[in-house]
Order: sequence, then C-alpha cells, then structure tokens
Amino acid sequence: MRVLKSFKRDYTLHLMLVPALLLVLVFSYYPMFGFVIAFEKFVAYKGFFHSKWVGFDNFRYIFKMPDFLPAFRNTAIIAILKIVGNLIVPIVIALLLNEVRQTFIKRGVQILVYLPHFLSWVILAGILKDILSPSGGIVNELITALGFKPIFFLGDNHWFRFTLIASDVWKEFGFNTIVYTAALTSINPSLYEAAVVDGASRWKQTLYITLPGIVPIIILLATISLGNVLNAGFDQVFNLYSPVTYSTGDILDTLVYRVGIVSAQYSVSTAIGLFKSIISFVLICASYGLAYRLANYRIF
Amino acid sequence: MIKSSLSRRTFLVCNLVFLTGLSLLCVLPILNVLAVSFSSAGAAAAGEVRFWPVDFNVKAYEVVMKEGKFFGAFGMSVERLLLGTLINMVLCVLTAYPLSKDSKRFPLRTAYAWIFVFTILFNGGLIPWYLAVKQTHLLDTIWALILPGAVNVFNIILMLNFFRGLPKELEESSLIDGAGHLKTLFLIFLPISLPSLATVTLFTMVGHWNSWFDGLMLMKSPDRYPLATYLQSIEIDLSTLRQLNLTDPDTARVVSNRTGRAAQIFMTALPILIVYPFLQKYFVSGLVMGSVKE
Amino acid sequence: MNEGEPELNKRKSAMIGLSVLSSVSLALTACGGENSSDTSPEKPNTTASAPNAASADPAGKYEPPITVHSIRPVDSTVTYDAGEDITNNRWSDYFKNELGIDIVYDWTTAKNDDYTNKLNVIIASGDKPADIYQVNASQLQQLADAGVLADLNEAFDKYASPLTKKLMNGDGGKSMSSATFDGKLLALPQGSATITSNDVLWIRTDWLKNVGLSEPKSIDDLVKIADAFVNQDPDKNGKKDTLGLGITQGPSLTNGGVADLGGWFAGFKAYPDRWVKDAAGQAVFGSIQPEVKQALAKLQEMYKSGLIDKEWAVKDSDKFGEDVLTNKVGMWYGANWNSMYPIDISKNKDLLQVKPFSLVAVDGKQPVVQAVDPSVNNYFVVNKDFKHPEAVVKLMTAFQEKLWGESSEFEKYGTNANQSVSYFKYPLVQSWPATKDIPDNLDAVRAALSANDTSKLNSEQKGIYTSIKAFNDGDIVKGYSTARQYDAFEVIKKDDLNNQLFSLFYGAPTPTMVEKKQALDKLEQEVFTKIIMGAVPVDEFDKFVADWKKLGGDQITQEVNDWVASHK
Repeated sequence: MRVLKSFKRDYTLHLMLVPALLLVLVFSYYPMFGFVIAFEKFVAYKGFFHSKWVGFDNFRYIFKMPDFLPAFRNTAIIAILKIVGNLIVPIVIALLLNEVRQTFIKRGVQILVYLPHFLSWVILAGILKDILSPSGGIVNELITALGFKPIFFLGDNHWFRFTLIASDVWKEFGFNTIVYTAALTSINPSLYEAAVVDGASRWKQTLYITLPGIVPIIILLATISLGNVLNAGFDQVFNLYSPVTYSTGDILDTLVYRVGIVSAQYSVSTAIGLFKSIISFVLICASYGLAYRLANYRIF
Repeated sequence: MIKSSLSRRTFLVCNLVFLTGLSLLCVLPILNVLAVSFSSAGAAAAGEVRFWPVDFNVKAYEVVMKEGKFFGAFGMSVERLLLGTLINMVLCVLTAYPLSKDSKRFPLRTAYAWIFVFTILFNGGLIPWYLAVKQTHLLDTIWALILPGAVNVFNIILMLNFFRGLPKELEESSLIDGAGHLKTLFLIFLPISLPSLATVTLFTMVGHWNSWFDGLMLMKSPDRYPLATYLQSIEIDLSTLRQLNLTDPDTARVVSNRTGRAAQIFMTALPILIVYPFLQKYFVSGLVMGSVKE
Repeated sequence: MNEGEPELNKRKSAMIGLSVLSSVSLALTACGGENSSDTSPEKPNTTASAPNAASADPAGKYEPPITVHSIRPVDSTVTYDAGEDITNNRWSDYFKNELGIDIVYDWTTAKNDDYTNKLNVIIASGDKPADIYQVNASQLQQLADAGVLADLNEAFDKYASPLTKKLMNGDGGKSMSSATFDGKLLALPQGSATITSNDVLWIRTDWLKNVGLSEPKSIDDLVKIADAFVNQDPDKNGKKDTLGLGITQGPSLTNGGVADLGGWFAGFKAYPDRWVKDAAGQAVFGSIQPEVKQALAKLQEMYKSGLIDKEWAVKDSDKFGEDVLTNKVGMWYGANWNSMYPIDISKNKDLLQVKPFSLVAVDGKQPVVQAVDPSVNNYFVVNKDFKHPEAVVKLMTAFQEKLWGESSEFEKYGTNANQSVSYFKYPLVQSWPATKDIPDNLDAVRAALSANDTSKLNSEQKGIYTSIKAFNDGDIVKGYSTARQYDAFEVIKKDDLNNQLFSLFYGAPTPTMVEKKQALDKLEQEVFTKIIMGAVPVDEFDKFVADWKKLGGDQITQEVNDWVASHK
C-alpha cells in the first residue's frame, strides 16, 4: 500500500528512469542470453540454441588446464594490488594537491598527471623496455649509482608483478585524482572556517574534515573496482610479458587469448567471463551488505 | 589569516617540489612520444629519439591525414562525441536523480540500482552484443556508436553520490515552491553540481573519443570508421608480415611504424587536452555554497 | 619488345582459342606480353557443352551479368591511381566487362586480424557472410563441418584454364588437398611461395673483416664469430657494446621472421613446431626430437659465455631492430626481407655491409635444409546457395591469366612502372605461383642484369631490375633492400630449391589441437627459454618431452597421422 501511494506521488521519478531502463534492457539484458554458450559446445553455424549442451564441461576444461591455477592466482594478486595502489595513490595526490595554494600550479599538475592515461600499452611497453633495461636503462643507472646490482624488471619473476602494478598505477592515477579532487571541492568550506577558528592545524583538518568528506567516494570507487577484481589488465600484460615471466605474469585473459589463437573458442572465453562475473558479483554484494549493516550506508 | 608556521611552510615547499617532480615524470613519456611523431622513421626505429625530434619531419602526420579518410573519420568522431556526450549526460542525470533518493522516500530505488549495477558485472559477450545492435537495425549508423553505451552505470553511480551530498533542504524547498522533480533536477541540482558534472562529462568525452572497437565491429566500411578505429587500423604488425610473405617494401615501411603510432597517440590525445582546461576550472576552484543556510 | 613472330603467334592462337574468345579485342600487343613463366602445354578444349553456352566457356561472359556479394580486408598498403578505389578499378572493370561479374563489397576492414574477428562474429551470429569470400584454415574447417560451402570440383574441372590448373597444383597438390574435405573441393587456396620463407644468415661482413674471420661453414665457426663479435670490438668504437648471435623473444623456433631460431635448429637437423617423419615413417612432432636438445644445449653454452643478449627474452623485433640500427648486433637468422625490415639503410649506411649467407650445420655439411610449412593462410570459399559457384574459378583464372598467362598485361594489371602502385592487390580472388620469386623472378632478373637486356621482363621484374641496377651503380639507398633480398633468394635457391622439405601436416587444427595445443606451445616456449638462459639444466628437455606427450601431445600425434594418411 505504501508502495502504491508513493508511486502515485512519485511517478515522475519512475518515468525518469524509463529511458535508461529501456536501453539497458535492449543492450545489456537481452545479450545476456549469450551466457548459454558457456554451457554448450558452441559451433557458430549451429547457433546459440542448437549447439550441443555440455553442462559444466567447459568449466571443467578450464579448471583442469595446467595453466589455470597459476593464471588465476596471478590474476587475483595483480588485480588486488592494483586496486589497492589505484585507491591509495590518487587519494594521497588529491590531498596533496588540495594543499597547493597557487591555482595555476594545481591545474597544471592535474592536467599533466592525467596525460599518461592516453598512452597505449603498445607504446608504453616500448618505453618501459627502454628505461627498465638492465644494461643502460635510466632506472638501473640510478640503481647502480646507489650501489646496488641492476634489476631485470621485465625479466625477473621477483619483480615483474611489481613492475606491472607500479606502471599501471602511474598510468591511471591521474584519472582517479580528478574524481577525488572534484569530491574535495564539494566539502563545505564553512566546516574549514569553523575548524580554523577552533585552532585546528591543517593536519587535523585533513583528518577530521577532508578525509571524512571523501569517504563516501572512496568506498564507492573501492566497491566499483571490486567489479574488476579479476581483470588484471590484458593489454598491459600482453605487451609486457614473455615466456620468462609467464609464471608470475600470465593472467586469465592472456590464457583465454592464447586459447583463442588456435580457433575462436567462444564457449571457453564466455565460461571464463561468466566465472569472473560471478566472483565480482559476490564480492560487490558482500561489500554492499557490509556497508549497509555496519554503517547504515548504501554504497549505491 | 594566521601566519603559517615553519613546518607548514616547509611542507608546502616540499609538496610543490614533489608534485612538480611527479608531473615531470608523467609528462616526459608524452614528450618522447611527441618527439617521435616528428622524427624520421629510421631514428625512431633506432631508438634514438629522446625528448626532441631527430630529423624533424611531419611525414607521420601526412601519412595519417592523406586521402581524406582521416577527415571523414575525424568528423564521425566529433559527431559521435557531441551527440553521444549529450545523450549520455542527460541519461546520467535523469537516472542518478531518482536513485539518489532515500529508499524511505522512494521505495524500489535499491531494486532499480541493482538492475543497473548488474549490467556492469555481467556481459553476455561479443556476439550477442553484435546481434542486439543488428536486430535493432542500428548497424552502420552513428546510433550504433551512441546508444549501446549510452547508459554508463559507473558515471550514474558517481553522479548519484554527488547528488546525495547535496543538502536535503534544497529539494524540500524546491518542492514546497511547487516545482516538480524535473524542474528541481535541472534548475536547482545541476547548477550546483558543476564539479561532478564536469568530471563525468570529461570521462564521457574521453570514452567516446578513444573508443575504437565498436567502430570496427559495427561499421561496414573503413570509410565510416570513427577516428580511433581508423587510426588503429592503419598499422600492420609483424604477424601480418609473416603471413604476407613480404616481398614489397610498401609493407615493410608500414610495419615498424613507431612514428605513425606516436602521431596516432598524439592526435587522439590532443582534442581532449584542448577541452580539458575548460572543464577543469569547474572541479578545481570549488564552488560557492552560499545558497543554503545550515 | 617482341613484334610478331610467326610461329609463336600460331601457337599462341591455338591456346587463345581454348580460352579467350570474345574478350581478346583488348589491345594485346605482344610487346610486354611475354613473360618468363612457362606457357602451359596445349590441352584439348575441355568445356563440355552446357545449356548456357556463353558461361560454359571458362572465360565466357555471364549474360546477363551477375552480382557477387563479398567482403574482404583491404589494408593500408593497397594504393590506387587517381580515380580508382577498391570497388572501381581496372580489375573490377575487366571482370565486369569481360566476365560479366560485378563484385559488391558488403563490408571491408583495414587489417587482416580485424577481418578475421569480424567474420567470426558474423559466422557465429548465424548470418551468411557473403557469396564469395576469404577465410583462414580454421574458419574453413568450421564452415566445411557446417556444410554451407559449395563443392567446387566440377567447376574447377570445367572452368579452370590449364595455366590455373598448373599453378594451383604447383606445390605438388598440397594446397588443393588441404582445401578438400571428403573428396569435395570446398575452397580455392591462395597459394604463395613456400621456400621463400626460409631463413638465411645475415652477417655484417665489415665486422667479419675487422675480426679477421670469414663466412661460417659450421656451427662451430658461427660460435667463433659470435665470440669475436662480442669480445673483439668489431665495430671498432673502443667499447665492448656488441652482441654475438641475435635472437628475439618467443623464442621463435621456426623460420621466416626476424632473429628467429629456425635456421639454427635446422643446422642440427632439428625442426621444432614442424611435423617430420620418423624412422618408422610415422609423423612426429619436431619439437620433441632429441636433436632439439642438442641445439638448445649449444645455445645455453653460448648464453653462458655472454654470446647472446641477456635481454633477448623481452625484446621483440622492433627492439631488436634498434640494436641492428645502432651497430650493436651483427649476426642473426632471418627471412629474405630482413633487408627491408628491420634494416633501414637510410638510417645507417654501414648496414650496406650486411649480407645473407647459407645456413650452417653442426657437422659442417651444407646445404642445410629447413622444413617449410606449406600451410595455406587464405582460402576462397563460395556459399552453397550461390547460383554461380564457378564464378570463383573464373575470377581466379582471369587473375592468373592477366598476370602470367599468354595474354598477360603486367604493366596494366600488375604494378605501375616504378612499382609504387600494386594493381595486383585489387582482385578478390588471388593465388600466386609457388615459384614466383624463386626461381622465376630471380632467374629472370639475374639474366637481364648480366645481359643488360630487359626485354623479357614483366613490369614487376622490371622494377626489381631497376632497383638492383641502381644499387650496383652506386645508389645504395634506392636499391639496397631489393638487392640484398635477391642475394638472399640466391642463397635459398642454391640451398633449398632441389631439397625441399615440408612439414607433413598442413591442415586446420585437429580437435585435440584446438583444446590443448596452446598449453603445449606455452610449455614449449617456457622450457626452451629457461634452458637457453640456463635457468634450468638441459635435461629439463626430457621432462618436457614426457609432459608434452602426456598433456595431449600423443593424441595430437595420432590425429595428425590420421590426417596425413587421408591426404596422401
């Protein structure tokens, strides 16, 4: 009854959602029938509904692949560390930027740190191979100048993941910094004025006003990035990995790619995609539920 | 204004130094790419280009811009960008507004929200997506580049969170004055949501400008490719070389095309970089929150 | 420039009589029409009387004209004269006017990979892609299984000219056989030269001179040279900054690339990634044969002695190219076109001294023969419902006739005078003689150079002649890449033309291959890389062989043998 009453009052609200709902129905929900091929031995000409049904065979095939477990482990480790890095670094930078008084510098830094986002991994891979080279690369020249032995970043399984994560964070932190900066500007300035009157130092202001002010955004971005927990970044890994680093660098997506080289195996890639989606879904449900129960806060 | 302490001043200076260094770190590779795009193919292939062009020439840009295909693709991208961003943004605020309401106020909103979130987690695959576009008769039209991606759930969620951060009294007073939801959204909420609007607009524009895969699959001929698709289509890689059993220098010239790739990156980035400062002022300088008395 | 030669003309008209009846009013001046490929022997007119007399003629025109819907990749190296494009050009005019075939492209892409992806999506979405179109081997297999392709046996018999029949079978029938399923010819293969993809050894002769060594005759010689290149400052710049044997990431175990290992392995009679015959006559996988272990052991030794770049495993051919262009590496195995890429003579004129040499063997015996992969990359298929399947044969015949047949007009349909526009890229259906480069073009050009007589050359060969002559006369920038490429062809011709060795399997991936080959390939790459870098001992190879067999290799071997048996 309450629902009906509010419906009458707020039919506008429902109407406003209609266009997006329609589009999403047609272009997101309708195509989901495609998941059926994860359970079939999909043969193109037989179509989606007449290919042979094989139940969970595709999943069994994937899980039994000798490379699956290492790929899964690598994917999880790399993706999670990337999420952490991509969360912390932009926050720190946004906070630091917030302290800059000169608007010109603020804006300048912002645009400059956004630039790496535009580089493709193909190009970046070439650049990284140059500067990280153990013989003559800039980074190693610094390292040897400080008295250490050169590090083969792209060829050493102890360093490869670190290289992946660090370069990805460097490439994308500008993007997230923008979001945090925008959030920072929405914090009510009168809060700061009151704090200054109360004699709070800048550091205390940051702790008690700034950070809490952007906590919602942080939680939001964190939760959304959980949706990517098994996307370790195909483009990047593909361009940077090599047989030397397969053991720590091979991820689910590069595995699927190699499977697809021999022949377009849609069934297998759909099955892996479904697997990844389910895990992400569970994680997001969990965090949404936790936030709601513990803090009465709805992430979205 | 209280005089800043020594530690405060030290911090500010260190901060500046650090941020400047960081920016340098970010801009140097771009400078390198820019320099490569203006260098000779040989110098680029030899890895000699650092931050300044070697054997300055504009051949890479000429090659890309020849035959008018480039301008056609550019036009297609601009059209897609303008139309697509507009539609995306309208849909974004229209959808974010109801979802930002409290569920006491607007029951069912959580259900709607999950309906949207579900779609970013579960993706039916390339072929069904293609079929959806085909069966709605959008293939080879500009709408194929706009409508399938018109609902960007990530942006909607961002936007709804910003809306939630606005004082509740705003909506209340607006409704008391007799304005409906639409008026409230467009006349009250939007003007003070400029930082988030600017942010989301920027992301949307970048997304449209860089998107190349949909152009490849959904357009019939390279004449109708948007710019990003066109640019990545003029490369040839080594595997093609081996297949072609290369006997003509044409292909060899195109293969190790570092200058071409560099020009491509730059041309893709440039328009965005031009637009960026205009949007930036909205999310850097802050806003005046004088409209509501606490 | 031949003007009429009476006897030749008589023979000509006999052959013309069996093919080009109505269309020959085109100015077929004998001048430029002669070319070096063999003229086909006379054959009786095989066109049976068919209901529609005009189209029963192999080169007969369709009345009324037919429309063929097609799709194709058209990459950025395809260039046109003013006013022409992929739909309207000299070839499309020829097909329209002389054959009554109008080809309409429903869609095109600019890259081969994109074409394959898009085609896969369309096939997978259940649509009919087109009437006539090109596919790769595994798409062909899929479509064959689905039963949607037209059987071209009859059409080929009836409508292929003798020239076409000869050229299409020029590789001993392998490619035609790979397009045959259960006795049905379901596609026309796009042939291309096979031995041309063999490796040669590219070495900087100025460095050889500086270290006082000469062309290697054995693997030991090669190792000596590598050692000298690393330790004796061959580029005389006072720094120890040069590498020994160049290899690129992968590792690329087969020939035909840049700094690959195909040529190296062949020197040990090892043929990784190829299928070879064992003592019992069965097909076995080259990568698990004992000779490979020997070859890897040697590489491991070399790596340990610093004769191989420590970073080779992460360098692709672009990065390797940097080393070439900056005088860091002076010896590597590579395909004939390495003189075009990664070498860029305009960047570094010292590379003039890079020359191609024969491969060397561990026992010092030459020539070293590599196992070539005769797999076809492209097939042309016809949709089963298309009413004119023979159109594909006619298009093929016309293509080959106009380029290498009696009525060939190379400078109109092949390339333009200075080879900057290649017209031969326009037709939808193409297939090249396996012998086009070696020995046909090679012999023709060499003969012309020594006799200083270009009369017998077609325009493609003329372009090559001009480049090489310019190079010989001193213009190294213009002629270098072609000159060295032809030097490489010489080497290959000398070593391989009479000793061709082919991989035994060249069909679409078998079922177990589809499931497991990628994992096996990955394992192979990992193990081989680790062995070379000394991360694991050479005996790890034996474990690899056991794993390979266990993880699907045995099954695959069985399937390959079945395929070979059914494709004899």
